[in-house]
Amino acid sequence: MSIQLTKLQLFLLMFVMQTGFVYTSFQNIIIEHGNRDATIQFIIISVIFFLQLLFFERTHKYFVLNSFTKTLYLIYWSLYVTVFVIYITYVLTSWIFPNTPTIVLIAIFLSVCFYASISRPETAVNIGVVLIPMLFLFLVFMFLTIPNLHATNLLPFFYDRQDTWWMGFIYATYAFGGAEVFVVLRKYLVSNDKIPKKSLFLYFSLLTSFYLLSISFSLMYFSLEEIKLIPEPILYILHSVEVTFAKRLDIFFVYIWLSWSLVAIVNYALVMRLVYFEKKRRLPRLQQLIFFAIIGITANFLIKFSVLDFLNNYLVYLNIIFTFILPVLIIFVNKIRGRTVSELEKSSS
Amino acid sequence: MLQTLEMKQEIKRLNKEFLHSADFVVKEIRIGQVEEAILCYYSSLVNKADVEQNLMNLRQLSQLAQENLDSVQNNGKINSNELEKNGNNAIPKQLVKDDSITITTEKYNQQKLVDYVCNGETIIILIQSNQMIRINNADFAHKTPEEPETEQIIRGSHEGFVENFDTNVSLIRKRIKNNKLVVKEVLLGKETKTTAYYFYVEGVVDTEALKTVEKRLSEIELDMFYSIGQLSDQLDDQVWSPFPQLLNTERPDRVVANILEGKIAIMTDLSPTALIGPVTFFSFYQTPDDFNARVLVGTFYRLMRIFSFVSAIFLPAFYIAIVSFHFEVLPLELGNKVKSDINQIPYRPLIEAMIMEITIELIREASVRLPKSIGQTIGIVGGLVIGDAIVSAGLVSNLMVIVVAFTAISSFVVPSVELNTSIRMLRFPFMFLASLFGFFGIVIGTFLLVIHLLNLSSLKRPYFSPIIPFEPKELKKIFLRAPNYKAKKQATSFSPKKDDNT
Repeated sequence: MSIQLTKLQLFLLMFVMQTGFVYTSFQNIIIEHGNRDATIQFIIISVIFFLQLLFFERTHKYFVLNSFTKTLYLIYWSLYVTVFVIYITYVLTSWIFPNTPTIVLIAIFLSVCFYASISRPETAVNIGVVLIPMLFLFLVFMFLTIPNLHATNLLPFFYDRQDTWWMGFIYATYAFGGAEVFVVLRKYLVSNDKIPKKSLFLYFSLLTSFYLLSISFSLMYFSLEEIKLIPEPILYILHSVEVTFAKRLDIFFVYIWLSWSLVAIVNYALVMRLVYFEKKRRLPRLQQLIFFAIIGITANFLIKFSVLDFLNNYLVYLNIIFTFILPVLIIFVNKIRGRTVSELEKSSS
Repeated sequence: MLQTLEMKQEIKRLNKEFLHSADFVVKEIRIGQVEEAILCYYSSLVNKADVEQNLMNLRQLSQLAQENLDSVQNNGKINSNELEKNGNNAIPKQLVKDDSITITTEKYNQQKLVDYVCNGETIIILIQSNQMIRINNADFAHKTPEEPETEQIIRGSHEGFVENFDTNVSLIRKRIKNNKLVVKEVLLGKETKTTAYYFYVEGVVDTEALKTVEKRLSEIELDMFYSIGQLSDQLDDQVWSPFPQLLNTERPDRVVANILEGKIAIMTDLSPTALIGPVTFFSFYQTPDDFNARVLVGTFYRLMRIFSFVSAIFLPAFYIAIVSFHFEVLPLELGNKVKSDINQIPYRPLIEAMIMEITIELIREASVRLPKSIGQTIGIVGGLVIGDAIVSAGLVSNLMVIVVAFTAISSFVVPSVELNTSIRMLRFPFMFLASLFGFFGIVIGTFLLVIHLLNLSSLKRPYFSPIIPFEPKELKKIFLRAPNYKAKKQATSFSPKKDDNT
């Protein structure tokens, strides 16, 4: 299976995958550890992400996955998608459907994702476009909270809280999970020319601003003590916004975020399809059906607060390994061995 | 004597062949001094005065130029002008009544004769020389080119297609005076032998789409062809999709605008409707009015139409979701009002919505089938009297009447009848999903709808372009009517053509 992407499509895919389900939940954990320095910590990590993007762009031709690393990534992405499903179901059951069996909810939204996955690959590539108006709507909702914000809450303290302060940096990396797909998808670009630094910078700025908005709004809206008690600060902010046309903006946002997360799952499934079905395999539809069924059943067993809390605290380490460390290692090893993507393609053809 | 006997037998045979049809005319005639012949035609398909006139022409031609008649019989197709040029200056001008009528001679063949007569030709069988003369003066019934009732516009051309090949082609050629406009013909239906024809502009046309059309037309294996819907089914990429994949229009200006963008228009002699492809979903939201009106006005109404798509599909579902699941979304004052209103209603919101929606659909269907004057009365009776009575009876809330009326108006905004019906149908599954899962159901339904639209194609071209493949520069053309409209070809592939410059 193969696709052709433009730069815009590549960045759109990355944006959806990098924001996906993380967007509503990661603010409180970074603020909990970084306190009022959270924005600074996040900006520092985002600069590292930008440098990594530049590095990936220079060396992407060396990002060749062998069967071992391929398996590792497939397991990691499957786990990531499972966590998505657990979290989506958790939010839906706690905010909207407390009495509906979780398996029903999972079956419904995973069937839709399965339908998208067995459609032509271009559908999965482009489906993120429909989110663009929703994102604007979300931004409008967010800006309605401006009168209730306290800008002084943003001023950093820079005081030492020993080990917990450093954890702020660690958790800030949550926002950039999924960056590895840049090197995975890079070879599918229509024109294989270099992506200009300007484009990378634009993407980096957009992603960083989008996340920074949520962190700074959460900091400005809540006191530090309050935020420790609130698992989804964005939802709470929207919940308390008072507008004349609607009483509960958060309900609308939950559904915007749901669509967003479903698109992220479809996009992850696309990346997995590209990696797994690089070699021609039998019964691709059946294999995808089995994949979604396993994800759904596993997720259904794991929808517990304790599991989510554990994942929230420790998934970040996997993120760091698979997003920041492993791609760099793979690139270095292949550079030393002299293996490139084009050589691999030649040998396989 | 022998010849007369033979003729009588042949007439009998022909009458049998045409099953003694009431409008089949077969009779003996005499051409010139010697030659006896059989004249046959369907009186319903030709103008009798024309037949008599042509017969007289032939007799005089035969008398005046026996030699020329021989050469006509030998050389095959030749029209009356050529006869004149052929050296017979003695043929009076008044004999050549109409240049469009062609006279052809060929060897007598019984099967071919049946085809020709069914095609509206007048045939003269020359028994002695075993030849037949074909006079092509078919006069099929059709209306005059009036503006189609379903596609009325405020400014611009008010002409419409008719059920006639020549008239329709002339309506197109009048607008494209260029030899690159190509018209091709195919026969559909083994038994009915219906003529279908397609237009395109050479050099502009999307060649791959043209190949697809030609391939699909050639693959049609129907015995009976009688409606444009059959053709549409054969040409559609996904016949089970609720969305039309070919644009139906009876307006020549719309056809011209589309074929100049590289599209192909397909028509038949049976219907004034042209099928245009490949098209995108957004083609159905454009009308000639957009380009005839002021730029800002055209843009505003185009935006309104696109908004109408959203309201026509989602509004009843949205109402059901709010009333059934998400009351807390409403502001307090409105919430109280809605609550007190629906508290009096004995049914669930879905049933309430279904009562109103089905009533509206029945009124619409009734007003379409009835004569115009009664149709309007039905609209008033249905809309005002039934609407008021149904609320007074406590079956439906006031708010539901408002929602359904707004939805109905929104669905009629779509300039295409086909998409209009699809949209009206699509709101029912959304209503069911909303009544089962609230907003969650709507999101899931929307997701399915979007995936379906992204998967859809029209003559193998992306249907949801410029969203797939994503072309941000083209996207604005969906919403805005640019001042200097420049015809542009539709995207030809699901894969992007070239990289963007971002």
